[in-house]
Amino acid sequence: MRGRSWALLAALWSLLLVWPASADAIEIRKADHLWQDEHRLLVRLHLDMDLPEVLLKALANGVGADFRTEVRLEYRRGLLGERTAAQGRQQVRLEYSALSRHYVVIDQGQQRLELAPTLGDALEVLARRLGRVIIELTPDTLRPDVQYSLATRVVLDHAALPLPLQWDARLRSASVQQLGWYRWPLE
Amino acid sequence: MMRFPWGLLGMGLLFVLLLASLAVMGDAAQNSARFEQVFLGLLVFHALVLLVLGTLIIHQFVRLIVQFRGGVPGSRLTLHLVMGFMLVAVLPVSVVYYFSFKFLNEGVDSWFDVRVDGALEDALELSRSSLDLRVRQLALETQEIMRQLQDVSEALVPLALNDVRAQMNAQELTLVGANNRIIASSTDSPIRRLPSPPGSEILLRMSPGQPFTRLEPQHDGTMVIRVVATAGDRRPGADSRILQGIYPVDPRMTALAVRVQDAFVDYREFAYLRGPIKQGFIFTMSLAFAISLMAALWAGLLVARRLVRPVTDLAEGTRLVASGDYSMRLAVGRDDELGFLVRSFNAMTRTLQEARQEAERNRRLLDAERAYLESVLQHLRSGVLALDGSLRLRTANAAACQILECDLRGGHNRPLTEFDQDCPLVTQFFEAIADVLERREPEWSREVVVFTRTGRKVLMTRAVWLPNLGNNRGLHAIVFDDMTEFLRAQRDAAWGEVARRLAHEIKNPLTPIQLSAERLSRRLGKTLEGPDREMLDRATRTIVQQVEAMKMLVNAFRDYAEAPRLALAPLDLNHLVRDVCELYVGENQPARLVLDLGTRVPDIRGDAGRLRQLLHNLIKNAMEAVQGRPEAEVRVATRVLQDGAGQRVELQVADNGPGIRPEFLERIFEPYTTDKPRGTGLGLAVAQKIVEEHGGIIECHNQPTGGAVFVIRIPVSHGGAATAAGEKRA
Repeated sequence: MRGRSWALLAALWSLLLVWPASADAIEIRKADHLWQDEHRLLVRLHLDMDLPEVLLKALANGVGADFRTEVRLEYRRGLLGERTAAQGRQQVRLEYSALSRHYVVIDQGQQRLELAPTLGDALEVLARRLGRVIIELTPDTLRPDVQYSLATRVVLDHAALPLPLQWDARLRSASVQQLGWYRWPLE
Repeated sequence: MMRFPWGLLGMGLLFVLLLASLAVMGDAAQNSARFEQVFLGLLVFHALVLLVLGTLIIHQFVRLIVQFRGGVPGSRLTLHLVMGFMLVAVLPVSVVYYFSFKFLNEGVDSWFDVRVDGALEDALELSRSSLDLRVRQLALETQEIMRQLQDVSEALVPLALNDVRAQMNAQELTLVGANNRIIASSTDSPIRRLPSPPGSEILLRMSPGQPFTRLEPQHDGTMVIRVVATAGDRRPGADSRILQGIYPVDPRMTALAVRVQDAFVDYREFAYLRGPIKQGFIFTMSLAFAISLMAALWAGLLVARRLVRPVTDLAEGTRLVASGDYSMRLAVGRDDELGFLVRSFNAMTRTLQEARQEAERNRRLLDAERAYLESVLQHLRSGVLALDGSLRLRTANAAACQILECDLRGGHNRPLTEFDQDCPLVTQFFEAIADVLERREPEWSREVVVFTRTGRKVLMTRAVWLPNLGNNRGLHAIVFDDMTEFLRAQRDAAWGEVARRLAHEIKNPLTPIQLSAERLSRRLGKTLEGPDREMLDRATRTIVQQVEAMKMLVNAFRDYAEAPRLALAPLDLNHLVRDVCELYVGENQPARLVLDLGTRVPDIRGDAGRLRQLLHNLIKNAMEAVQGRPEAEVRVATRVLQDGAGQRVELQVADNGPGIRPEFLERIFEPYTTDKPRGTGLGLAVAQKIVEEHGGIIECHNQPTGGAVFVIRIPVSHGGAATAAGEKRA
């Protein structure tokens, strides 16, 4: 009796674990960095913006979507794993303006708007905006005897979505899949 | 002892957790960031709760069904209660769920109206139209400015731009030449705004002769209209400059348009999210429904078990009570009606136990009394019989069995009339008292004479009729004593006293009588002659002879009455028999004497002289009985008996004479009982006395083949040794 109950429990948990995951993702095809000066590191990303249908429909229906690029300057510290020496982020919002009939890409950091007549243009602008992140470094951030690496990822800010859409996205797993970190060494 | 309600505690905790999770969910529903944080946790928690509840319920149900199939007491009632709880829980919740579902579906749809949708679109379109109107107007004006600037030299262009910008109330006017080079620019706030040429995406989208226009929202919520115009002459060498003008939209109009746009966007977003909204609500409602239902089922199971537990305990207790265990006490864990029932059950079992203990005490007392009575009865020398109203035997003591020579204890509940074959004395005894028993006289006494093979028995019988005993069927209590020996002893004592008086009163004058008669004969014999002398001699001789006879009689009485003065010693009875019988062997004897002496006859302790007298009496008596008969024979036999009375030596003296008349047989050992004309009647009485002095018994009965036989049984003395061999001699 007890065994049967636990077997049932295990089967239900297994069902929960194999819940279908989303297939669409924002993919970082290539990433590099460029020293702008001694204290400014420009990280450049080449992105494939493959948004899910539900999000595209949501954008077309006036729902704005917030994307965020996170960059970390990391170094390894023995068994303690990766430690972050510095970090930077770029937050961009994509929405549709019904009055101007244009998609609007808003750089939240620079308070800058760009208009795009089509969604494809808007995504290009979005990729361009998300693909440039500046990391500010202090003079004592980098130590010569330490090997540093850069890690970056681009995520959709689910919390900024309307709640029903979050429900829908969560329940149908239709949200943008959060990919892992893209890493490369700092040279 | 009250059990701790772990199940209810768990249920309460789970309920509190569910309330907390619902509160968190309600909070998260107001806050997107919070929702993002707690969604996964809530989902996992609720899934976990559902799984735990589902597992518990399935486990409980399977257990209940197994118990139901196994016929466990209370399982049927529990199952019925659970089914009832399920019905009570599922039906209303399902109804609520159904109507909630319907209300959600239709209610959410009712939020969205086609007319509102159309109105908002119209409003937006109106806003756009009015803005487009302004855009077209500014496009025409910008083109006109561009045409005017064609005639202005480059050196004067900045001034002209300033004038025009001020006139047009533009934010910025910028004249761009080849390669997107800024020729001149004028802004309303040079500090705040730097001139910027039109972007490449604008230039690419420009049509020849057609100005590029775009309504651009700004960060601060305002809107501007961007117009990029060319000279319109595309011939080689013509002016390739373009003019970009940025015009602010009237703030009031902007506010109105933005408000319309926001309303439109919100409505569109809302309409678009109608499905997810419904799904979210339905998911939440379904989750709450499932949890409520499962919680209700689990609560139903727990409550049913709690309700049924006292009933189950009562059933088990009743089973134990039915099997005779009154020590069962149920735990009283509640103050409701079931608790009252359990307390009543405990009181009942306690009362039953006390009553049973009391009954057991009484039974033991009764058994003890019965055993005591039985013991008294068994040790009574009087026979006791108890007969019920239908004269069936209920009780008989050992003395009764002994007196009536029948094992009556095996005949419990048997009518006395059925004992005729095995127990003739019982039949005789019953026939003698049947009339008074049937009359059911309250109290009576009677002397009952029964006849045994060895003589008669006189039973002094007393009885009472107890009508209220024996299950109200009545009971005859009969007490009787074997008075035979007592009467015999009484007679013997009387005869002894007679003998002593005779010896004393008669013997004393006999000697003077004899002496006087002899003196008369001597004195008068000398003086008388002839017939007188013969008469005197005859008379005196008769007197002397009769006196001698009387002396003999008196001596015989004396011997009978004398107290025994036995000289007991180990005695070989066979040897004594042979010695005595030697005197009766010869031609002039009236009968042939046959000895049949047993082998290995042990010694007895006896007085040889008294036993010799006994033998003489019996053999002489037998010889006299067969005198003159053909083939007269007297047989003397000995043998060893081993029975319940121990080892005894039996001596038989039998003859083949006429036997003893029955009227003499029952009192043949009494003095003066004789059918011989010359006997004293004391021979057999003395013989009986000798036997009794040796602790034996003497019996007399007639043989089926004729003749009488006297049987003497004397106990074997301790240490007696059997004779080497028996012998048989004619």
